[in-house]
Amino acid sequence: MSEMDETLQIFFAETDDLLRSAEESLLRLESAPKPGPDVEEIFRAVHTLKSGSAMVGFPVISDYAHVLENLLERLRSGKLAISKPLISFLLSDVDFLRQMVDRGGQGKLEAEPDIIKSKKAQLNRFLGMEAIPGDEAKAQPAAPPKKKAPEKKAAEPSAPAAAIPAAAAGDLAGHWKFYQIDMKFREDLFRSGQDPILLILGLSEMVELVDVMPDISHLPPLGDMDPFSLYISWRLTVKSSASLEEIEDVFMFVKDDNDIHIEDITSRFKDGVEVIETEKPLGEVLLERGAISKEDLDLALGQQKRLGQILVESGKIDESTLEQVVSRQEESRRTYRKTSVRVDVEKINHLVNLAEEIGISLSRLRDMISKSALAHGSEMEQEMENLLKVNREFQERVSQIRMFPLEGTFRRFQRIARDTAFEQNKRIRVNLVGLDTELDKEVIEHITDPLKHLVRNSVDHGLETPAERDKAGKPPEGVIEFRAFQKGGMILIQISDDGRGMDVEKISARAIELGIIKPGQAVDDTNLLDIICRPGFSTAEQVSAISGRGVGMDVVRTEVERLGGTMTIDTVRGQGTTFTLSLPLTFALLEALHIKVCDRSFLVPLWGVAGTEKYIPAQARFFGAGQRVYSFRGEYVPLVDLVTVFGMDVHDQDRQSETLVFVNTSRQRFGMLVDQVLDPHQVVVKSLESNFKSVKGLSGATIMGDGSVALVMDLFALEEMFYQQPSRSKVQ
Amino acid sequence: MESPRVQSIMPKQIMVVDDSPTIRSSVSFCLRNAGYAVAEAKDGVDALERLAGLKEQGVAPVLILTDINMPRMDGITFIGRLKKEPDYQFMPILVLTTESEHGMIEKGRSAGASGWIIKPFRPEQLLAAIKKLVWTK
Repeated sequence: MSEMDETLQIFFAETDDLLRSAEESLLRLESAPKPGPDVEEIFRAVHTLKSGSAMVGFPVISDYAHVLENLLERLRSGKLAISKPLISFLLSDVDFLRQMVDRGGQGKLEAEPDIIKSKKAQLNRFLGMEAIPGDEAKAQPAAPPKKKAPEKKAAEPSAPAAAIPAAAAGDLAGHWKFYQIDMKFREDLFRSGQDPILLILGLSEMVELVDVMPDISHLPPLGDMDPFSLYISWRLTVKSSASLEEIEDVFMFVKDDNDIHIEDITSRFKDGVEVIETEKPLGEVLLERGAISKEDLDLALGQQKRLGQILVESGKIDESTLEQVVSRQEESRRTYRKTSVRVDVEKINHLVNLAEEIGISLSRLRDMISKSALAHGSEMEQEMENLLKVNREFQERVSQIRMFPLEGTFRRFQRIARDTAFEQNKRIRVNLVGLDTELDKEVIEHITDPLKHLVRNSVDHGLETPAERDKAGKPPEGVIEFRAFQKGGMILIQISDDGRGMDVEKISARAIELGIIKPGQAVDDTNLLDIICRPGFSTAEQVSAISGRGVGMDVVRTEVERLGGTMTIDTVRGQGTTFTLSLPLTFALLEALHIKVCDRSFLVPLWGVAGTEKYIPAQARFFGAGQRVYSFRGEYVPLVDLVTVFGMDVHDQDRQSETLVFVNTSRQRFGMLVDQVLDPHQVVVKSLESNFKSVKGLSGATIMGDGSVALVMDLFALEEMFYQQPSRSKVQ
Repeated sequence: MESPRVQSIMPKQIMVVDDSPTIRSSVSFCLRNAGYAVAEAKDGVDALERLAGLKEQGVAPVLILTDINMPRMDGITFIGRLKKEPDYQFMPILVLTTESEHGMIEKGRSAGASGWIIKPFRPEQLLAAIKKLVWTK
């Protein structure tokens, strides 16, 4: 702050000097009215004042100086004659400028709008005296500073792409665009102080580099190489939500005298997979673009010789060596092709759907067969079982095509964590666990940005500086751990830090202040997440210890839940914070246990099923208002009555509930009294919301093998409904 | 000349050449805030002298910001002189110019400047321009 004040003081002193010297020059001009050093001096003073006043925040002065500068420019170039009235006007202008600077210094507006207006009108009159028509426009106040140079013509890039507005930043589902950037530089680029690597680095801050292809074909032989020259050019493929103009801005300083070509190639991509022509032969691409005709291509191809042929003809190698090499090459190419293909994700989804349809038909067939006494125990039934097994594997394999290991994603987080820590002078060690854990590519794509938020937050607000850690008796190096593992049908991703943890008291105070919780209501792990996920919760400065935790937290949570996952938080003051994201392995399939209650079919996600047992009424204990607990594997767990929870219109005594299904959601355990337990099924869940309406406690429905509809339970929601006050994890 | 090792420990230095003390002060303020060391010079002649002085101490700026219109030696001449010296031929140079100084960007570039920035500018604009030319990490 004080240094800025110092700048202001310097500005006042400089202005004083400038205006004094302008005044002296004007007085000299009055006695000897001819262009020369005196006019130059006045011009320089006003010009300097213009930039200076704008820099220190006096736009009105700068504005006026700009118009005045225009007048002086014409004086300087001899377009305007030096006259007595002009000189006295300029002298009064010097006073006016001085007055404005004084007023500005006192914290007042530099000049009243009326005064400025009349002053400018006077100025324009002088300008207009010999003004060339149309020049008036130039006398307008300076336009707000643009990033681009004034002499640059309006951006010439391909208009359609430039017209598309920048995709809403921060929109996690973002509209990605793909650009192809060709960078061909002058050989002497380094001599202008440029460095292509810095451009790529700068670019990488706003885009994801999909592909970086250097072209080294212009590298001369080592002996001829000038180490200070640049022979390499690049072709980059990048993915970004930035607009073409934002991308172009990176190349601002080089695009005019180098060959930089940026093209929006989003149309060539689909779901992040390039479906294009990179692997097509050049001739075909040129033909498609209309650059050559079919005849040209055929002619050229006719002249073309294979490298091997040329070498054999020129006697560099003999034919048998060539054949040997070529056959080995082909073998390796075949193997390579076997290892990877690029497929449109739509095709895979189609396969998943078909496999599922087959599954439904097969189940139905099996039911029919088992009902016909004839087929019982027959080969037909055996074959049927076989077919079902094969189909199940088929379905799994098809879904696996979409699975990718998390390693790449984690490596990027490691980098983000490192960079964030580095910027803040924090020391950090990053542990990565479970790199080969696989997750549906679509899930990965949706989850990457939310996770980035969490990573930055953990480093930024979780970790302490080495000094703080030392005071807390911790090693100076903070530890961030990324862990992924499969648990049941879910993939858990955890981001832990061993930092300061959240200040629950402060959060509590703030939450009461904002009316999120009632005074006296405790903040625990249960509602902590709800509080910090309130949009804008932590923007308040009062909660500095956790400030920023809330930035984007609501977005993170929404995105996770939209994927059918959940998020939990576990924080211990002074010891650190762990975020756990529980995500579905894939969108495609759910393994579920088929149960019946009051003749209605339900499906319990198999990952949550801890076991089933015969219900022995004597083992149930009652407590509270009709609550029952039951001993399961040596632990009392509450029993949930589905009839009550789902409000089914049946009386307890009518039922013959004989079986208990125990559920463990990893947050809570509970038992459900059911009438019948049938087979586990692999089902595709259809959303209730899109077909009917959202029902609490149910995540969807599916069609069973016999054509009936079964409802799929949402165990987390069920548990919340049962416990009334939502309870997510053990309270510390 | 500085060795890369020394540079990584010491704050990077940027030289500001402008005849207006206001501009020098506000630019220095912004650069110091961003963690750079700043050397100021009031015109081309002063800047060349300063560079020679720094060289004796074994340091060189990582970037030079220069105004165009200055007494004694203007910015274009200054850039031309720098580019002839082997020590500074690869030096990134940003020209400080204004909307009304037509053609200065082009002149600066043909003299060997790397980029430009138009006065008045906000600190983040200045830092963004510098980032295009200097390793910041």
